[in-house]
Amino acid sequence: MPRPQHNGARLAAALLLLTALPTAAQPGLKPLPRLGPKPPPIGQEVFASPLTPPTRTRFEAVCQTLARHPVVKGDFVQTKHLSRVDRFLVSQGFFAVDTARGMLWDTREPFASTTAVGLNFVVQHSQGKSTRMDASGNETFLRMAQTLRAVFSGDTKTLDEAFEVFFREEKGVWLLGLRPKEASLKNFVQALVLQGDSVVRQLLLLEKNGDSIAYALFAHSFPAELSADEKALFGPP
Amino acid sequence: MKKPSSAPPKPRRPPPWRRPLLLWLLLHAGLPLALLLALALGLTSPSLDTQLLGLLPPSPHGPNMAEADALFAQNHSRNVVVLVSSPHFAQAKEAAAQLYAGLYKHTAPHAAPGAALFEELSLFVDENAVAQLSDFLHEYRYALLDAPTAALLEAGQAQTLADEALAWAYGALHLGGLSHMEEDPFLLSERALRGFLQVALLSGGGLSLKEGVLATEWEGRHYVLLRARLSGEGASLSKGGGIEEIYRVCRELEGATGDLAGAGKAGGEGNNPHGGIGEEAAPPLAFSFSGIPFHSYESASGAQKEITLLSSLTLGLLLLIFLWVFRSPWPVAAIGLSTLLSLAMGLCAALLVFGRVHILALQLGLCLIGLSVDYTLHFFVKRRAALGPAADGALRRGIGVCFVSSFVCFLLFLWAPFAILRQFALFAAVGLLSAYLTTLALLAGGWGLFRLFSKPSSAGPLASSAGPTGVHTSGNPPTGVPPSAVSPSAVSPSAVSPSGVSPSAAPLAANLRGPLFSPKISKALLAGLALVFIGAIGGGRHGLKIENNLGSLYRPSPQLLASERRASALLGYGAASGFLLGGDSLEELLQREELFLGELEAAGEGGFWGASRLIPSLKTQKARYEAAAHLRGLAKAQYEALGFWGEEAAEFEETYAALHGHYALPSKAPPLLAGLVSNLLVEAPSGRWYSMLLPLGAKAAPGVEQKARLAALAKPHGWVGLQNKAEDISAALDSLTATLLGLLGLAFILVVLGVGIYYGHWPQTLRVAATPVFAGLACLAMHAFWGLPISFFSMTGFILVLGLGLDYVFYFNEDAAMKASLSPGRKATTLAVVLSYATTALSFGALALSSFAPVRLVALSVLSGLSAAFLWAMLGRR
Repeated sequence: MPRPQHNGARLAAALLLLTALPTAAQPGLKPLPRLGPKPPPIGQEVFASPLTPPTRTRFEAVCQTLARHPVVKGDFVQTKHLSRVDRFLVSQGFFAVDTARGMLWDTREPFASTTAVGLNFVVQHSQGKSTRMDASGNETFLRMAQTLRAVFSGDTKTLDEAFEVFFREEKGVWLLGLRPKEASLKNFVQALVLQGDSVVRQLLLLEKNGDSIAYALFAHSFPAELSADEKALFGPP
Repeated sequence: MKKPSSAPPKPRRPPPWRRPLLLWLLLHAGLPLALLLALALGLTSPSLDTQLLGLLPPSPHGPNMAEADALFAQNHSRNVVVLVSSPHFAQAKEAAAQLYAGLYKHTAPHAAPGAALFEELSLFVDENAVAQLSDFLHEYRYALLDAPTAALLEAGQAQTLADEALAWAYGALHLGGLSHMEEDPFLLSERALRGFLQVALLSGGGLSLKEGVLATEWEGRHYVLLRARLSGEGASLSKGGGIEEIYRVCRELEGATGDLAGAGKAGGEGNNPHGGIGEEAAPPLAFSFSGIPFHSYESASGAQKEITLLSSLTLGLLLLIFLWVFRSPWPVAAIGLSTLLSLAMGLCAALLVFGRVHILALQLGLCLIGLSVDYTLHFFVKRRAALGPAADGALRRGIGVCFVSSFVCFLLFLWAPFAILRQFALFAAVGLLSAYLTTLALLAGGWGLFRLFSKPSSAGPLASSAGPTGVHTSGNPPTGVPPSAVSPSAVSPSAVSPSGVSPSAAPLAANLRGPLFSPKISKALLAGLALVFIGAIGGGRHGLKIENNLGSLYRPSPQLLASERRASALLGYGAASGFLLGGDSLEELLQREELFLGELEAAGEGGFWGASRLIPSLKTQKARYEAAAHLRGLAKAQYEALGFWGEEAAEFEETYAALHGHYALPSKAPPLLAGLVSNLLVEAPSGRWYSMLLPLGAKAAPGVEQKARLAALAKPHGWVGLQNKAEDISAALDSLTATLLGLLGLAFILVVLGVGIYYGHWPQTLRVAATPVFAGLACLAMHAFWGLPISFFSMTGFILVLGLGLDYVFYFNEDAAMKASLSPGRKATTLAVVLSYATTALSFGALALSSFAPVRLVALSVLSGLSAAFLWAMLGRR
C-alpha cells in the first residue's frame, strides 16, 4: 500500500525558497548603517519598453558584451526596503559570478553571511558552519538565482524562457526589465530592473508585498577564474 | 356401539420442522422479505465492496491498533494521484489542466446532488497557502518554536539566535521572512516556517511549484501532479465511478495529443521564439496513476469479468452434461432453478447480515453452483433411474448427512476473524440450506410440476443404470414420504427399457454397473496413490510451511505496477516501517508521540516524524513559551540593530505577556498544515486518538536487526506498535492460517464424532474419517509438487474439502445400507456421485483459472482434495 500522500507537504516543499538557513552574525562587527539612506530609484519606466526588433538587437548586443567575461567580481551595497514599516536595512559585501560555477554573495557588514548558488544547489556559510541544500524543493529559488547569473553572463535564452523582457538604452546606459512568466517566480519576485553599461551597475528586485532589494555594484574586476577560497565556498563538487 | 372403521388410518401430519415445503417457503419468502423490510427501515444499505483493502486481515497489534489501522486505511484509501507527463512542460501542464477541467464538473458542489465522484480535486496551487501558514506560525510564534530553537534558548544561547536573525535580515539574496519583523525581531515565525518546510520537503518527495502547479522533471520528461479524493459514490466501482471517469478523460486527451501539442506550441510563442516545443512533432503524452482505488478498480473489473466468464462457462458445461444425462429439459430446469434460488438466498442472507459484501466472497461463493446442484442431482438421477420413492429414505438420509457435514464446516467459518470468510461462510451455508430444502420439497412431492420431472427415463445412461431387472415396486413408502409420491407412473416397470441406453452414453453406463476394480486392486491403487502423495510431500517438504506472502497474493498489471513505481520515485514513497500510537485524548497522544520520538533519537534511531513535530502537545507548547522568555532581555538591542528606535521593545514585552496561554490546536491550523496533520492524526468514533510516526524521507525497509531494535523500543509501551503494512498483513494471515488449522482440527473431530454416533459402527466411521485424511494428503502433495507454501487460502480450501469430500462416501454408505432389492439404485448413486464430482470439479476447476491468487489457491486446494476424496469413495465402495 502506498504511503499517505501529504498534499500540503508537496506544496510547502515546492515553496522552499525560504529554506536558506539564517547565518550567525560575525562577532565584533557593529551594524554600521542601521537605518540606511533611501537609495536612488532606478528606472522602472523600462516596463513601458517591451522588446522590439531594434531593441532586441541592442539587448542581444549588451548580453554579448556582458558575456565576454566568464568571471565577474566586485563589491556590493544592498539596501532592503521593508515597505510596511518603511525601514531600510543596508549591508555591504563582495560578489562573484562565475558562468561555469555559479554565484557568491558574501555579506561582510554589518552581519556576516555567505550564500553560494551553484547550478543545482545552495550553500549557506556561517561561523564555520555550512549548510547545503539540493535543488529538490528549492527549484524556484535556484531559477531566480540562475536568472541573475544569466543576466551577468548574457544568457538571453534563459531570460527569454522565464521572463517578459523590457529594454531601453540612453547615452550608453541601458535598462533591462524582467517580469516572471511563472506564478511561482512572481511569488518570489514581481520584477527585476538592471542598469548598466559595459557591466551591470545596479540591480533592483521588487517583491510581491511591496518590499524591495536594491544592489549597487562597483569595483568590478574580471579575473580568469575564482580563487581557491572562493571555489571552496561552493563546497565539494 | 360404534363400528370400527374399515378405512385406513389417516397418516399423522408431521410436525412443521419435518415438513420441508413449509420450511422451504419460510426460507425463500422470509429471507427476501426480511431484506426488503431492512431496506425499507434503513437498517441496511446493501452494496458490493470492491476495495482491495477488504482483502486485508485486521492489524495484528491488538484491537486498539486494529481500529487505528482501519481508520488510517479508510482515510487514505480514496486518495488518487495522476502524474501527467510529456517531454515538454507546457504540454504536460495543458493536459493536466484539461484533465482537471474534465473532472471538475464531477466535483461537489458542481455535480448533481449525490452524484459527485470527487470530494476534492487539486491541480493549481493556492498562492496564499504559505502566507496563511506564515501568519499562523506568527500568531503562535512562542508556543510553536521549533525544537532546535527551543533547545538553543533552553541552553542559554539566546544571543546566537538573535545574531542569526540579524544575519538573515541583512544577508544578500535572502528574500521574504521579514514581514512580521516589527513584532518578531528574532524572526521566530520564520524559523518555524523553515522547520516546517524542511519536514514537508523530506516527507513530500521532489515536486516543486512551477507555473502554478506542482511539477518535476525526471529522465527527460516533465511531470505535473493532479490529486483527487474520491467520494463514496466515486469510489464505487459501478459504471461511472471516479476511476472510470479519470481513465475516460485521459484516453480522450491521449487521442487529442496533437491539439495539446498545439497548445504547447502556442505557449512557446510570443516572447519566446526560441523556447517551447516549436516546430517539433507532437510529443507523446503519458499518464501515471497511483493510489489504492486504481488497484481496486483493476482487480474488481477483472473479478467482475471473471465472475461472468467463469460462471457462464461452468453453467454452460453443466447444462450440457445434464441435458446429456437426463435427455429432458425439465430436470435441468429444476436443477437450474434450485441453483439460482440457492445463490439468491445466499446473497440475500449475506446482504441482510453484513450489508456490504466483498466481491471476493461472492467469487468464492460461486462454488455454490457446483455444490447446490448435488442434492437435486441425486434426487433426479435416482428418480429417473426408475427407483421411485422407494429409495427416498436412503436418498433423504444420504443428502441429509452430506448437508449436515458441509453445513457444519461452513458454519465454522463464521468464527473466522476475517470478514470476507464470514461473508462467504454465510453465503454458502444459507445457499446450501436453500438447495437442501428445495430437494426435500421435491422429495416430498408437494409440487405437481416437480412430480412431472420424476418420471423415469426410458433413454440415456439412467435407464441402463436401472438395469434389466426392473425395480422393486412394492412395499411401503419410506417414512415421511407421502403416498402420493409413490405414484404408479413413477415406478411403472413398463417405463424401464433394458435397451434404452443411448450409444454415446453406453460406455459410462456400463462402467457404472459395479465397482471398477476388485477390492484388492482398489486397495492397492489407493495405497499406491497414498504413497505417491507421501512421496511428493517428502520431496517438497522444505517448502511446506505456513507462509503468507502478501506480494504473491496480489499482482497488479505490469502497466499499473510501472505507474506506481514511477509515482513512488517521483513522490518519494518509501518502504520503511512506521509506528502507530494511540491515546485517550489528543493531548495524551501528542505527549506520547513526543516521548517516543525522544526515546528513538536517544537510541540513535531518529529520523521519524509525526503530528507533534508540527503541532506539539500543550505541555510542550507551554514549555516553549517559557523558553522564549530568554529573548526578552535581548529585545531592545535587537530592535535597535534592525533600525527600530521607538517603543517596540516595550510592546514586545506586552505582546509576550498577552500570548501566555495562547496555544495552537490542529483544529485551528491553516489548510496547508491541516492537510499534513490530517494524514497523521485521526480521532476514532470511540473518542480515542491515533497517530502515525513516519520515517523522514524515502527510506528502504529496515533490516531484521533494525526492526528488532525498533520493536524493542516500542515494546515497553502498550500504546505504540511498529508497523510495516506488508509484513503485518502477512503476519496476520499467518496467524489466521494457524487459527484455521485449529478450526480444521475441530471440524474434523466434530464430524468424526457425529458420523460415529450416526452409524454406531466404528470401522465404518474410520473409513469415513480416512477420507479427509486421504484428501488432505492430496492437497499437501499438490502444494509440495508446485512448491506452494500452506497459505491462509490453502487452509480455507482444506476446510472446504473436509466439508464436501465426505459427501461421496456418505452417498455410497447409504446405498450400502439399502435393501438388496434396490440394487439398481446403487448404480444410479454411482452415476450421481460421478456427476456430483464432475459438477464440483467444474466449479472449482473454473475458479482455479481465476487471476485472483486467493481464489486460485482455494480452488486448487479444493480441486485436489475433492478429486482424492472422489477416488477414495469410488475405489473404496462396496
